[in-house]
Amino acid sequence: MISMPALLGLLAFVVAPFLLAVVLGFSNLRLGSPLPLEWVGFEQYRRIFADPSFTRALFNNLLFALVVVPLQTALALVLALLLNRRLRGIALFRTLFFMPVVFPLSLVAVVWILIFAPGPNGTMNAFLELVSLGAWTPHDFLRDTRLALPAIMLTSLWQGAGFQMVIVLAGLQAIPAELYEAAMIDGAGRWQQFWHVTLPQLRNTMIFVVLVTTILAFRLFDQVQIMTQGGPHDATTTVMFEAVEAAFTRQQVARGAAMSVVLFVVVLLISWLQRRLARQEREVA
Amino acid sequence: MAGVEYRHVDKTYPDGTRALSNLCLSVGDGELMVLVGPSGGGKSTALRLLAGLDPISGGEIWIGDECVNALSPQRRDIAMVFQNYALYPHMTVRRNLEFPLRMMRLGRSATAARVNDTAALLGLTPLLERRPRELSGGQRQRVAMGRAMVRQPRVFLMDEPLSNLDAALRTQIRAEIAGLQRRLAITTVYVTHDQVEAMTLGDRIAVLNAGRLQQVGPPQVLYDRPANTFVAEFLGNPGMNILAAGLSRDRRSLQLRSSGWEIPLAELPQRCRELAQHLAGPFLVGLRPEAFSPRLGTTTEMIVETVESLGHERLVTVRPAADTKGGGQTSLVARLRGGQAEGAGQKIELGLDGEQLRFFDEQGDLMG
Ligand SMILES: Nc1ncnc2c1ncn2[C@@H]1O[C@H](COP(=O)(O)OP(=O)(O)OP(=O)(O)O)[C@@H](O)[C@H]1O
Ligand SMILES: [Mg+2]
Repeated sequence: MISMPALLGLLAFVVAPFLLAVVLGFSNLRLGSPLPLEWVGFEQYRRIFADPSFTRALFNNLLFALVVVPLQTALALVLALLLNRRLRGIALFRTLFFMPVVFPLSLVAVVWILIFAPGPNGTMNAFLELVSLGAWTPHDFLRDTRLALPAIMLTSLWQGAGFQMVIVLAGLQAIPAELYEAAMIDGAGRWQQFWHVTLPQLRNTMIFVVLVTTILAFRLFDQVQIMTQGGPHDATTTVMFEAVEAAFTRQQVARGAAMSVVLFVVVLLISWLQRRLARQEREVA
Repeated sequence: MAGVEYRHVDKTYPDGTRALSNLCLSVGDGELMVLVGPSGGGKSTALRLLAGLDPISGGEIWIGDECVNALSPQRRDIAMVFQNYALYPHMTVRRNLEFPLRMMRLGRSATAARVNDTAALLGLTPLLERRPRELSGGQRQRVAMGRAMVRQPRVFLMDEPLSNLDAALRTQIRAEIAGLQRRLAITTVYVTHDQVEAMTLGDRIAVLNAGRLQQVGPPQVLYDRPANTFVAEFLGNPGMNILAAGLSRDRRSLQLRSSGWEIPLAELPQRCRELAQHLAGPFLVGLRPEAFSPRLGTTTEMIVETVESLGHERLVTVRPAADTKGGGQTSLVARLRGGQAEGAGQKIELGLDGEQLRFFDEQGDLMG
């Protein structure tokens, strides 16, 4: 009874749109089209999987997740470990690292467009030239098929690591100091304490972080939209980007709906897989 | 195997709290030393300094023939049982017991052998594959003991290891700890705020109050001849009655102020009499509750305030009948045999055993 409002909310804002997407995915709806509305079964799905842009988008999302999730989680962990100390001014550092999170993604993307500016005066080009002692030749990152996706990965890392750092930091601070004291007395050095106390105690936090990062990786859109428009040659396109393009630019609503259903199923599958892995490990460890 | 020595140890926390002042204490090889005292007395601090968990502010700590001031906890070869046990929650009991041995890089078969021996000794064998959260409080306590024991360290440290257990279990495990410690003969520093635990467990007891060592000695010595009124009142349950006293004008009798008691010196044992003769001004007299008895020497009329009957004995709080103001300050606690209960307000005659009188100067330090 008490959960009624929550259930209603869930129905209205989550289940209904999703069902609508599923229903639309079986139609041929296209805004402004002279053709009559028809039920076409799995035709839309057959078409999108035959579309090289869409399969490239799926591949890009997968690659993005495979690179960004481990890197970003590791980066967040390292930052959190560095910032989990009682030093003067540590709050300032914590705030600094968290700042990218509160910047709007669009702003972040614009700033990184400037950083990736082509020619020797672009910040990234200049930096790489400096650290490679002049061996680096300037590239136009966002228009280079090999460099565009890594450039977007870097932007996302920079933007997202701070948030996870805060979550990991909270997890670190919830570990009882007594466990470290016991470990020290039992003869564990710093590295062993990290391995035998910190990591196992952070388990649930890390599972959460990995799960959220994975989901965010599959919903990648803003950076792509602003920085590369999916290009060059679909090098940075993503499922979300393709879906939005289809539904809003080309007004192929049914096609966009089918794509978002695929995205939903993929995300669901991955979350379920991760949870299963996590549970198994809990039983074994 | 090694003794422990605190040499003029000071500890001031960064916020300025002075937790220990000039602590000098030596614990013999294989001895069980109990640190006891009220909350905030500095017991845990003394233990943490010995473990190396907090830096020392002044003085030296020695383990065996080595000054450990600069040694990290890892290199002190000590083991500790924490109040909340601090078991590794993600490890099974077996893993918990193995942990210190793995850190020592002991071989696999030696590790297994030691873990199995320790588990058998503590009755943990059937629990080896469980996690700490699947154990009862008493079982967790045993695992914590086991984790400390497997290593066969130079020194055991225990910080109120029984305080989370119920009374019956506490008595049982207390006896087990005493037995194990004697068998293993490992130097042990045991912290408690429970004076019963201290009395029953320690080879010697060290009483700490407000960061200062009050007295060290075997339990019976501390009980019989407390160095000051703090120790006198802290040990024993209830503690010693402390009364202001003086000699009568003619120096023939001892007057316990505001209790209406006047005891002719002739009735007191020789030692008391001699000591009392030297006292000019006011001083303090201490009396254990068991020093009172209904018919003994000169008796005084007392009014019963409360009675706590424990079956075989009763603790009677009394107020001298002569003290009409009452007010509770002059209440004395007497331990009387037997179970028959007086009613509150009833008058009884009490005498006292001069043998058990203790004299303290005005500062509260024992005289004679
Ligand atoms: N980390 C700390 N920072 C500042 N002051 C502290 C710290 N730890 C303890 N103290 C202070 O030092 C004094 C001694 O504390 P300690 O924990 O040694 O007492 P204790 O005898 O173990 O008491 P209890 O029986 O309550 O455990 C107390 O006044 C306490 O407030
Ligand atoms: Mg304490």
